[in-house]
Amino acid sequence: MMMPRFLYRSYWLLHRVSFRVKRHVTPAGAMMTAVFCITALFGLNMYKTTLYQVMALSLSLLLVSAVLSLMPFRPRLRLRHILPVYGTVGEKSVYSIEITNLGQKPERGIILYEDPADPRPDLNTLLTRKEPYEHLRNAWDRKTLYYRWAWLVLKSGKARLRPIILPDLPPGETLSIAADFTPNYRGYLHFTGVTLARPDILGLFMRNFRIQKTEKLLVLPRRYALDPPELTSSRQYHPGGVNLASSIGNSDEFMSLRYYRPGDPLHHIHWRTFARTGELVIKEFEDEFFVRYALVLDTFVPPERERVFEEAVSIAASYIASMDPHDAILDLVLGSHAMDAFSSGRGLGGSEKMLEILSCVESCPDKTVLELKPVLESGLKKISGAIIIFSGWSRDHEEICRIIHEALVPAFVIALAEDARQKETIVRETGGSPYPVRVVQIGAVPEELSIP
Amino acid sequence: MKTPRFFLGVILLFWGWQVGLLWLGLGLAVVLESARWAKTRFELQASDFNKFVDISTVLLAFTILAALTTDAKKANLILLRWLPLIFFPIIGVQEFSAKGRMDVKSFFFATRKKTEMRFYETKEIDVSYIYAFVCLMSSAYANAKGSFYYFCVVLFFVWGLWQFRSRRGPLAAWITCILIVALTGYHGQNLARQAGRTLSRWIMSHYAYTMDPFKTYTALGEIGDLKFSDRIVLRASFEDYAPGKTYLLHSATYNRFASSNWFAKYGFERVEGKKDGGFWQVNPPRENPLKMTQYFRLQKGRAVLSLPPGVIDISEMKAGDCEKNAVQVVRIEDGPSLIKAVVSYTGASTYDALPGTDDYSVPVKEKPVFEAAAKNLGLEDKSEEEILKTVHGFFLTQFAYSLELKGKGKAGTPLENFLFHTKAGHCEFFATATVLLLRQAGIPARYATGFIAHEYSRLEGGLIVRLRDAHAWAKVFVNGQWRNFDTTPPSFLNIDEEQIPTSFLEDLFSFFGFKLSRLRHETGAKLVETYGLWLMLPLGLMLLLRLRRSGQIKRIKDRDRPGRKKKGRARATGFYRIEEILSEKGGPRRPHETYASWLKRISRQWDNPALMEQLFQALDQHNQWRFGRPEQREDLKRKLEENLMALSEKLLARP
Repeated sequence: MMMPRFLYRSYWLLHRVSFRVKRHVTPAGAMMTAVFCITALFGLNMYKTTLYQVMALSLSLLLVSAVLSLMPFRPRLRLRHILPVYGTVGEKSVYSIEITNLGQKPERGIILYEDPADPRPDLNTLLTRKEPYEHLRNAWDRKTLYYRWAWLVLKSGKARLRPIILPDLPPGETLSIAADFTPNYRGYLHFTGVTLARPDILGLFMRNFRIQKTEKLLVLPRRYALDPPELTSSRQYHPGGVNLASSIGNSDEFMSLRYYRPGDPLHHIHWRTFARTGELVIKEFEDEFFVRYALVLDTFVPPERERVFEEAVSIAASYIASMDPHDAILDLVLGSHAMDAFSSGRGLGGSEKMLEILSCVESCPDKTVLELKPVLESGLKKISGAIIIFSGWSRDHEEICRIIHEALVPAFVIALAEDARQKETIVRETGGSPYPVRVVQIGAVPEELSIP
Repeated sequence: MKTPRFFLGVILLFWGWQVGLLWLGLGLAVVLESARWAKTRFELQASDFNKFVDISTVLLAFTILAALTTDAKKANLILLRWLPLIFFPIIGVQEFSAKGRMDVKSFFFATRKKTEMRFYETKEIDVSYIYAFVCLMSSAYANAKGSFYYFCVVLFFVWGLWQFRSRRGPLAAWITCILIVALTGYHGQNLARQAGRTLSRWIMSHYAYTMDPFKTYTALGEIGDLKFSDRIVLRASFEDYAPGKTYLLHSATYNRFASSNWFAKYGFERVEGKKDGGFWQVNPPRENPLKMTQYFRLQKGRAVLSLPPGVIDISEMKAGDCEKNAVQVVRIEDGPSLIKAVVSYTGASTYDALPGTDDYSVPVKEKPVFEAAAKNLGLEDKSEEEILKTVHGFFLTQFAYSLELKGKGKAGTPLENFLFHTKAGHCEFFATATVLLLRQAGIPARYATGFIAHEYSRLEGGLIVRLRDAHAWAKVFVNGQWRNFDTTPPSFLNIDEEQIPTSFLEDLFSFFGFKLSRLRHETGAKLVETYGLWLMLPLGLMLLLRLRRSGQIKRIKDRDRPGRKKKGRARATGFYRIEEILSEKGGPRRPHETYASWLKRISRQWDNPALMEQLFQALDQHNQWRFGRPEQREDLKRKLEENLMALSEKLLARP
């Protein structure tokens, strides 16, 4: 415990120092510092080379620049962020900043740094979470926990926010600046303010001025343009949807007879009338319009299958985003710290709520998919179709399929595979499944799940 | 960030000029700068970048190997000299690649393999400033005296930092700051040089108490230890050599005796010389000097030279630095492990400093012993020449040479024991006793150490000096001149030979080692210097052929070269050609704005309804041309072009 605690404190401190250095030293300053260090190291023997002259000059530059950077900097600026509500993993999020110079003097050469919330994890998180490639690392890397720390910091930071060089701001004027960033991880990206940095006249060191401002943006999972699966119990005869439906009832309620239209199910043909009249007449039932789907997401993924989990979340988000919320109710069933089922759709929260949940969902490596059993057993009576996204295939997954199948609920089952070899294995193993299973290799989701 | 135009070229020229590779520097500069004008770029994959980094690594390894082979002691300097050429493949591929930057992972073998394990973003860097610094660092190899190098470095710094300057302050302030920096730096480098030299002297004086080559004090009995080794330490050939002739090769002189140790406190001064030619003027030139050539090895990069009396100059000695003190002790620093020195010397008169009070003093503890000895010999009433004769005869007839160390016995001091009881000892006893006896008689004397060259090797065709030939003798000041005065019985050479046998096999190995070293330092260095560069040519050709054969290099048209405006698009499409001007004059278009809403926003700022009307009209024409009927497009385009031409002129005329 002693060692991890020491490592944690060291990383914590190093991160802080590195953050502060980046805010106070320009790239040119960093380069000049490196020049000084190298020449000081190799230029010590003054009889051999004249490197000590470069060392003296670089030191002089650094000192003069450092002294100049101490000059006071209190800009009178008003800033307004115009952030989008959502961002998407891997897609550029564009936003704008409106800056007004309230002072009497023009402001030039200012660099703006967005201040995200502190991404450093706590000690417990560092000790319990595992990074996706930890099983491939050597013993030293695993012992020092560095990669785990780096991964947690990046994951918590969500995106790399680049500094913005502000244009010249005349006094009293307002300028709007467009900026962008590309999120790498889903979840909430919190901003705590901005730091305005003014490089000294030589451009090596910077003086900072911080403006506090709390903003947040939800980074949604990556989504694909997928067509919703055709489940046999879905509504078919009300093209206008719920709003144009004439009546409400159960689907097995007989309503009337009418002539056959191409596409009608054959088992609804009224054979007696056909025998009598020779015409195809079909039994019309009360159409089901209040469809309730369940989207079951397998979150019970070990850390080394992080990519698979992210892909599963992306597929779930893609289906949620593509479904029409007015015609159906969607239950999202997943396991996090406790087993949960969330509903969205007609009269309930919109799909954006579901996406928010998916954005923040974490994997549960310490439990198995069978944990979903009680939630499914109680909820299966209400649903008329299910989309099940598994992150792999095992007996437990088969058991879940069996439970759903016994409740006579039509289901569309997806099992994810990391590579082609694993895909072949899963295809072989899913032979005994009550449903046909679509085995999808990660990285090829749109190709494999889109309906041609 | 990219370096300014011509920056890399000029810095490469400077490097070439400074290190004596001007043509190479010019060639590299032309290649690099041509990247700015060339209209083609190579579309390279990460693996291709890795290959170029690998070439640099191979070149680095090759240079290290060559440097270690030719001159291990100066390997770091040789490496420093060739750094810009070694890293040229990296900067070259960056400048000619379409990407224009290097992926950081290319530089580390570990990260190249772990690509699938990376969860962080790829980091690309521009190495042009780093390369410029490497060139500047390499130029320091020339070790130019004076302030020229510093002045050039200031100029390069100013040029390089120009684009990083803050635009908040006026230009005058920036210039003032740079001047302050340059002046402070100048004084700083002077201070650093002085501090460095002081530190170096302090370290050397500190080492002098512990390290053999730079020892300025000695101990009685130490030579006895040394004499037990028959290792060859020096090879010498004298032009006046005759069979049976012996030579005293002087290394160090001491003048203070205390507690059985000899000390010297003479400061060292630099000997003027030309490092490249290896010529060092130790003393003022004289006519008809004698010549001798010697080969010896440096110990930890330093050596105290063993020289014949009256050294005038030393040539063909490739040393980094050469110093001498007032008693003609010459020491050198840095150089190849095997040193060759061709020495011109007088053979008799020396250039030692005139006697001081130390050269007359006899330690209080030893005074009664030497007073008694002088009295016994009756030295008080004799002339200088008579005294020398008496003393020489005294030691020659009454004393015997022995390697046995007998300590002080029952006497008060080891010297008393030597003079009155044992009457036998090794050369240190003879030399010390002679010096103190002569001082007691009023003749200035000093204690000298070095080697006696007497053994002729048929195998090598010259004199060889072994460690057991280490010797000590006295120097006396007679007739206004210092001269060697050796009182050790000549039989000591035979006794040494008997007691310390030599091994023919060891000598043979030593000879082959010496020949190999000469071949390496004299022939090998020239070969690498002359043909080393040509060896790199096939390496580069092989790489190019390999890349070509596997089709990894594709030539593409460079459309988005930095520093060039995208003229193609502006010419092809109508309204876009004035978009840049509008952005400059009225502020950039926001991502969500249509052209119409952008123009409306600008119109509020400008208050020029006529111009705005024309702009809206041009936008309408543009939209009709883009989205209207195909048969009218040509006509519309012509009208639009005319309109836009007039508009752009009007816009450019606006403040």
